[in-house]
Amino acid sequence: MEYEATQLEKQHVHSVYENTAAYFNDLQSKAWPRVRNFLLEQKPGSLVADIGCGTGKYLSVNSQVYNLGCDYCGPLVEIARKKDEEVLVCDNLNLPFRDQCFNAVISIGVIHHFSTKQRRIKAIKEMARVLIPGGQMMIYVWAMEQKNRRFEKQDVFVPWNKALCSRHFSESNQPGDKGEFVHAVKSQDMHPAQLVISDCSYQTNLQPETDSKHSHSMDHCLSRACCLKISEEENRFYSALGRSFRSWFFSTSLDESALRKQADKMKALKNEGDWANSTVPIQHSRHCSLDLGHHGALLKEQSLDDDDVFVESLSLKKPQWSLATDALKDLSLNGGHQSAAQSKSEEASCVNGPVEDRDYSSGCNKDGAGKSTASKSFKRTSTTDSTDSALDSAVSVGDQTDATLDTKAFMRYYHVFREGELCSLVEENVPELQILSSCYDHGNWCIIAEKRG
Amino acid sequence: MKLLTHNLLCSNVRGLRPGGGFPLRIQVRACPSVPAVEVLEGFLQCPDSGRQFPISRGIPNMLLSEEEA
Repeated sequence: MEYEATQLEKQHVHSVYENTAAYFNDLQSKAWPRVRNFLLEQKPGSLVADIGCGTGKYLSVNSQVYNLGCDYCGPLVEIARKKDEEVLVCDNLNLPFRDQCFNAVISIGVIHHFSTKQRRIKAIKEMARVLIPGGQMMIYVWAMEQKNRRFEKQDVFVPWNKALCSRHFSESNQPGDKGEFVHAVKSQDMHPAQLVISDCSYQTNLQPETDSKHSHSMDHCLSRACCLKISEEENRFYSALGRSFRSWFFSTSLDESALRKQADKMKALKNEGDWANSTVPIQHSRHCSLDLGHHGALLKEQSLDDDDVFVESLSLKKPQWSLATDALKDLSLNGGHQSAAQSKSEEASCVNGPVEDRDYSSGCNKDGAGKSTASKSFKRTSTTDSTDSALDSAVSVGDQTDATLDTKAFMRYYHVFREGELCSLVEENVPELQILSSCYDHGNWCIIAEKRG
Repeated sequence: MKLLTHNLLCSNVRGLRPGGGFPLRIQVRACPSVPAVEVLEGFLQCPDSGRQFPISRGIPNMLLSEEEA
């Protein structure tokens, strides 16, 4: 349903970018070399459009061409404008340009925000419409297949929090999504399964055995070495623990039927269209990749990449993982009280993801549906390791750092693309484009296509 | 908004006559001594529907409401 699709995007794309635009100013997002080269190859005097330009980082790559950027998000466009770029605000699905007026068009990290296949096709067709015959288009979308790990599902919500937008976290492998890390929030505000933990908050709070606790601001403690007197292995363990909960995946494909079902459900629960402040339960399908009851499946590979945002696999030994689940359970429970395993979660930034299956609702209910998947999946295991004390202190001081962090997490929607999906999408639905090349680049699927004619 | 951008823009309101959305009429506060090379504040008006698209701080806003799209 078109309405549901637009509502979803309004809530989990547009509103997120609008609210977080100010922080993009600081982030020097990486300009992908391939995109740069594509732009630099355009003939001098060409008209080039960047559809979904954001803060306009590609608009200044090639000064020999006329660069026009546009984006749905006003605040981002304002930032680009301040850099003296030529920009405007518009909708990718209804571009305010004449037919066949651009020599080249780029769409970098944009169409993965459209929530249905039909809208993604429409976006590409609109861009093809404004291309002159022989003109070329470059499209970058986030790939489902990532280095060392995979998204479990294609339609995902990625949390964003301003506390993680700093130069230190400037790199990620997502087009346009810089600083997309998440952080610990007040345990009582979030359903345990929704907790995401930053590296830094753990590191700031990992207390050596003898030191007294001292507080660090996020800014000071970005260095991993800060305050750390535990072993490197433990360090990585805690980092991995944090990263492992970095994202919360929802397992649906947002085709029309799923959206309609979800919309019906939403209407039944509260005011139509008012998704922002709802306390609708977070609904996870049984296939949710972060269903912690199946945590074994997450233990795959050995490598931890510091730049990765999404790590579904941990290089942990099993016992440590169990420790982690205990820690997480504790963390979720208002600072360590086990009895709160079924605590009523409170209204906070509970985000509802469109899912098909309503049987798996968990947490975040006002009526305190305590049967959370998390409580079922956290199994207490032997915790006699010496790292216990460090974990406990990490847990207990979690609340202290929250005061310095913005606990509101924005959830941004993505449809991540499988290998070949973007090509098929174009080949089957956009006959006016001929694909010239396609590749995988830094966690993205990229194609270059030419307008026929 | 620069002149060349204006050359590329057209109204995307639904239901226009063919070609009815171009060119957009530039509406600015008249300043006879200064030629309008770049519009910072003003409007672009669709010749067919009369719909006005605002330009603020040099940025045209071409977003339509749901009814218009």
